[in-house]
Amino acid sequence: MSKKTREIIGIILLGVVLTVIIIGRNNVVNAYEDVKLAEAKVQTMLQRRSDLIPNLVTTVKAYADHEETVFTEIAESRAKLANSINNSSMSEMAEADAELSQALGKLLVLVESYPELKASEQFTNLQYEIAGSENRINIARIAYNEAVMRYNKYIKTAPGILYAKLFEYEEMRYFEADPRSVSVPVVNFD
Amino acid sequence: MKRTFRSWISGLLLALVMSSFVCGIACAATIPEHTSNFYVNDFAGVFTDEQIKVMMDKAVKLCEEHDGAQVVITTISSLEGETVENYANQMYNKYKIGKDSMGVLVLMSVNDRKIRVEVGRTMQVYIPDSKAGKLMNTYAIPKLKQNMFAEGLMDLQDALVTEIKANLSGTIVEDGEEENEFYIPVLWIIVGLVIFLILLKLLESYIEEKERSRRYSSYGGWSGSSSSNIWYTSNSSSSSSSSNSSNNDSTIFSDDSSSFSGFDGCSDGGGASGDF
Repeated sequence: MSKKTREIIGIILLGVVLTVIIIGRNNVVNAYEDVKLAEAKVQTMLQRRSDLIPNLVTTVKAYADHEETVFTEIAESRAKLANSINNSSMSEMAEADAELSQALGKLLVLVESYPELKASEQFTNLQYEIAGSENRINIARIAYNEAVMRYNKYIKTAPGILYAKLFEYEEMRYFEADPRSVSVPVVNFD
Repeated sequence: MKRTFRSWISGLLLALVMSSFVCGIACAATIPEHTSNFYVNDFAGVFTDEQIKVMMDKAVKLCEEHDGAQVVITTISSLEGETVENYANQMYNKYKIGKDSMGVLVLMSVNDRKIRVEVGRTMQVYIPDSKAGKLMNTYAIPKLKQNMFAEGLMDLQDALVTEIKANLSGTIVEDGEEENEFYIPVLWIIVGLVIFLILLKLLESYIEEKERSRRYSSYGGWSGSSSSNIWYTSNSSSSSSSSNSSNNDSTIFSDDSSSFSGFDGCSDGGGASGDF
């Protein structure tokens, strides 16, 4: 083998190695960015529901202003959610979201004893908006968990594990909701 | 020696290309392909041909007059254990209803006695969740409760079409959000150029060598064409072809024998659902 051939083979090998590394890194980055994008969507949807709540509270207060405990609970869990969105910590968000869902559930039970409130158009509309928001959160959460699954799968199997180790990409956590908040409340008009 | 190296490199490249394209896709309930009618997918069989024709006329006209706004009605017999919200969302995104997500999907499951109005992302501006819920509750639910499925859904479709027309008349639907593919593969171009230059160099030296060997009498040469073949094969395997399968069911509504389909719509889960 002449010197020249060896040189050429060396260059090709170097090129191949570089290409392999670049492709691998791109794949990790793509999977990671998909997760980030899905995370942003979850945040947007959580925020969306959170924004509806003052409206809902005002409407309910007009008919039932003495139910202070529920309102306080809602305000507290909403503040917690806002905080977790600012910190963009997914596990905190999941927790705060579950708490808020629970508080809202209590509010909806409470509403049962106020027929005029239940029949008011404003309340009906808000109920649909909130149910829609909760469904959006659910859909965004499913998409987020799928993105996390793809990412985790990639960085835990060959060849992704190499690049993940090389560029220090770590495993991500699923958005795990409280089992109570998984089912979307369906508005019923019986 | 050279031969083994070349085959070794090409094998490596093939393995690389293949491994980087393998990707698992998770999918839950199996959403059926839409019929060639598209606007009315009567999988549960609740409509008569005449009713389908009436609904198809309305939906086709709406789409033509209002720049790709689509209202799709689908009946299924069972949700197969999936929630109506998730099923409808998956179906909406599979059918890609509405140009720029200007679409509405009405999904009714007969056995589960559930209905959902799924509203596309852009359409939510005109039909917010509360409006979707109100229309569903006013036009569909009372009739669905009496098992008048066809009538309830036809009324709901009519109400939705009227609502969309009222909102869109006189307004021009602007080209909304486009999926930004802002990833510019500058690096790839550079890498490609480097590889190309190396190849060129390689080819040059091969030709040189070949000429030399021809000049100084031959000793069982190799064919220069095989080196370029390696690259063709690895290139052709990288461009994975996706086959779009469109199934043509028997079209009840035939319009110049062309079948209908969606555009590029997607939904983030907006809309309303209810029991009946």
